[in-house]
Amino acid sequence: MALDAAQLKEAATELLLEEADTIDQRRWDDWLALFEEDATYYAPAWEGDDDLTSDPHQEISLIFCGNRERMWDRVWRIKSNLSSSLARMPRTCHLVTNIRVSDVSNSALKATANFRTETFKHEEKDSTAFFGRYLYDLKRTGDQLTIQNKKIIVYNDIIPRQMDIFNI
Amino acid sequence: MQPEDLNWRIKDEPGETFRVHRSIYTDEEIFELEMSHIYEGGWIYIDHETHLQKENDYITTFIGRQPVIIVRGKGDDYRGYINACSHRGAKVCRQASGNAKNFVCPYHGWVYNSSGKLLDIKDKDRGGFPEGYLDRDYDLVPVPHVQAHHGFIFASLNPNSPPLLEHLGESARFIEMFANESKDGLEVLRGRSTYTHRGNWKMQAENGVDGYHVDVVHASYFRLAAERAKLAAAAKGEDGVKAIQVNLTDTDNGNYDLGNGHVMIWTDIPNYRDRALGMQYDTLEERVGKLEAKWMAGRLRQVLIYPNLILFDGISTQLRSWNPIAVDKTEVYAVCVAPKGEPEEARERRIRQYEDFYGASGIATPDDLTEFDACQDGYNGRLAEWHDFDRGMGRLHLGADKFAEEVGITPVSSASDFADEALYHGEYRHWLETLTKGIQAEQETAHGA
Repeated sequence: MALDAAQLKEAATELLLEEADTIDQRRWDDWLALFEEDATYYAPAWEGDDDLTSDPHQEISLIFCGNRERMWDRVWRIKSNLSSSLARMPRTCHLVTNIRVSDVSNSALKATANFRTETFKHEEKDSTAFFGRYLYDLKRTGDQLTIQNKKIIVYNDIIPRQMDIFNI
Repeated sequence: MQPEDLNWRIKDEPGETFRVHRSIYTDEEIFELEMSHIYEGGWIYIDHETHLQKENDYITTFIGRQPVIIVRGKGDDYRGYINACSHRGAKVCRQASGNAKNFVCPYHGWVYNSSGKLLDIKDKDRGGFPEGYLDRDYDLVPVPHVQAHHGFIFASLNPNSPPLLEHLGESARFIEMFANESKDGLEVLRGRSTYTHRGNWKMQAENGVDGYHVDVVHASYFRLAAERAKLAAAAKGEDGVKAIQVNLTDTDNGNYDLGNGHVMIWTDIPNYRDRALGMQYDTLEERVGKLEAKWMAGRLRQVLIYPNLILFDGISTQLRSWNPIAVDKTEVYAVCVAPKGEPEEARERRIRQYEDFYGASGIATPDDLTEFDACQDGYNGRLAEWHDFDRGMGRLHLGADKFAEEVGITPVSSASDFADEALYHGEYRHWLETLTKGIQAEQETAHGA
């Protein structure tokens, strides 16, 4: 039996929170598995106070992965032990709130949420945070939900040393 | 601080050693001198004309610590003002950018036109101002020099600065080369990145022309690129990024001390046809000729325009500039710059290669920033006082080598190895000379007063 509206929202919420947990718990392969192979992961850059870029093919993004392979690149690098910026992997904590679901069809739905990610950097003995908004296109396959597109709008976009898939 | 308090910190013994005392990265007093005499005492890079296209377009920014408004006038005429109301000093313009014929100070409503001229004072008739008040000069204080060269806008707060082209010297050749990559010039793409790090600004100026660190610091980047290409080949698919390779053993490469603090590194790129400009190599060659095409598309060039801009043209194309915030904090502004009117496929390639490597959200730049911060921490080890820039000193060539002659520049010195560190001698000789002259000028002013 198909999920009703409340169950669907529950399932979407569960997916978003699971995604946050996979990152904070460094279950990188589990994180990738939540996405479709042709999923996009897109953190647009800002051009002005209220001017957010919107075309990753013509404009520069903070991060743009046009498919899951490009997301895998980032995971590969984290696991590689070859990056000094990741030599002491920061501890992160994602707070994902204000989750709402819309545009429900038999095959897809949209979800939005606010986020704040705390990043504790060992070298600096200090933490910084990025905050902003997530916009998801989720795919429905039976009762299963997967991520088709994720857009991350970072509101505080002056980056202290590093922004990567683990701290936004 | 007296010139003799600075001199000993640079040990310049040609042919023997070139050492810098690490206090130059940590000393607050030296930082103040740098701000006064380098950032507020000479030409610095402001922005690219992409962000100031029409008459009365403006941006607000800083020259050193001083807030300024930079305005485009008619044609290529640029001007600038200290962004402080003549009345009580509030910033007159609060927006980052825009287009305005007039600026109205939000505090007490004084009005200036875009030439900085005071147009109106609130209550001028019933304000009880003393006689002749309105005849005084209350225009915004102008920035003495604002000038663009091929779309690159520079400014100086020092009325006695030499002409811009004299300051740019041999580096102008590479600004012009970059600008000529399209017959229509360059444009900065939308999408900006600003990042900070906990290191002294001079490490920004060093690292962009540091060929020695590349394979070590960016090991994860180059290994990943190789891994990606391998996987794509195995799946008979397309490598979506085609990352640019750096190979120093089988290529021509080197570096130059261009004078006035400007320095650069260059190397031939093995897979240059994977570059956005390389995809159009034959057309380019037809338009600009063999030599120019080779330098534009076939060679990586990273040119420091002292003190605050690096032109990156290799891995992708970036304009990176910065402003020192404190002796141990630097804010960096990074944008992608591209030839106007390039084919869609090339533009996409350029963008993907850019994001892959550059910016604090890329997969290479954070490793650089981590090294700057680690150096800043290391410099606090005051017992370890010195480091040298001696790599390549044994083969340093004074004047032009054959590649410099070919491209038509006369550098102070040439090095045949991209990774040689002797180019920093030029940076730090200029640094010492600028600060010394600055201190002397301060003293003359004090004695004259």
